[in-house]
Amino acid sequence: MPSPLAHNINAQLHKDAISPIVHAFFWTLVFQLLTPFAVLGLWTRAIVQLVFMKRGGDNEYAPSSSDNKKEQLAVFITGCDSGFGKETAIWAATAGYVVFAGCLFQESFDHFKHGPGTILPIQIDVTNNDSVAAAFRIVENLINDTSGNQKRVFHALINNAGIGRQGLVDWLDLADFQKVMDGKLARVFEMYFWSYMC
Amino acid sequence: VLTTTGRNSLCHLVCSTVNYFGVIRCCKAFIPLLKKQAQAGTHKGGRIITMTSMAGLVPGEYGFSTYCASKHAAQSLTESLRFELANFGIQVMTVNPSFHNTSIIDTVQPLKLWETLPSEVKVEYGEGK
Repeated sequence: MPSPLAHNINAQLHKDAISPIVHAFFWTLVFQLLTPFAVLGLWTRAIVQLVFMKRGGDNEYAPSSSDNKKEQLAVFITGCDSGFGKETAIWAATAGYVVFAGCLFQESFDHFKHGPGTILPIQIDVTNNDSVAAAFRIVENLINDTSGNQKRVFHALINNAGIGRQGLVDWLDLADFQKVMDGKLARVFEMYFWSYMC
Repeated sequence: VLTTTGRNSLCHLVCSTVNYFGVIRCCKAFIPLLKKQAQAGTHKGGRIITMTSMAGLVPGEYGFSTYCASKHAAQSLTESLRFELANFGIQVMTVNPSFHNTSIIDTVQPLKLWETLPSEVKVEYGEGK
């Protein structure tokens, strides 16, 4: 039970006009006092994260080609024909990963003919279910292949394949959908189109 | 399909089939393998990395509606997948580079698209001014 004095003060504070002023004063004080601490905290966190990023830390999944007891780590990268995909494939192979380089075009296989480390180019069209399934089977078979002296595990899938198209929405003609697409794709895309337009 | 034969509708189709449905297809194909390895204990800590560009984070770039929409879709997909696969210890992440001088930067394609537009649309968008 609060004392009569505290009760009285509380009653005064909750009267109109006084109440919002006290409310504003209280929260102003709180925010003014806490903001520097919050800013300090955020800066400290950012600096600590930067330090950790610079140091790199222990990556238990870093590949080591010298250690034969450790398993080989395989990565699958889509869109290795050019750009980031190609660069990533070459980097990963240099770092010691077994790289399955998914290329849309057979001609891109030449990039990896004399490539560093183990790069295995695979033809894949990510817009085609059968092509993706076939690429997966190749990867699975090579991973389950126990003829080598080192065990292989599948470490990462890198969805890199992408395409850039430009143009204004106003220039779009829905009738073209019917002409261009076969039935199945049209239905899939119709759904996408509606979700986009809504 | 990959050549610019029609109008922007084709761009929408191509962009989303590659950038969004392509990601779904590959993820669906490879997730069983990663899950199996995680559950068998042969390899914990598999990863799925999706290249969604800055267009997956920054909304509304002029003239990039197709690319932006498909990359936003891929971004959300990957972020949902992150929570769905967390129990298996599979890390799912996105990489968001901005524009770099790779072959995805196609300066010819918008010009080709412009050529296919009807003349009244061209006039609306400032031809002959």
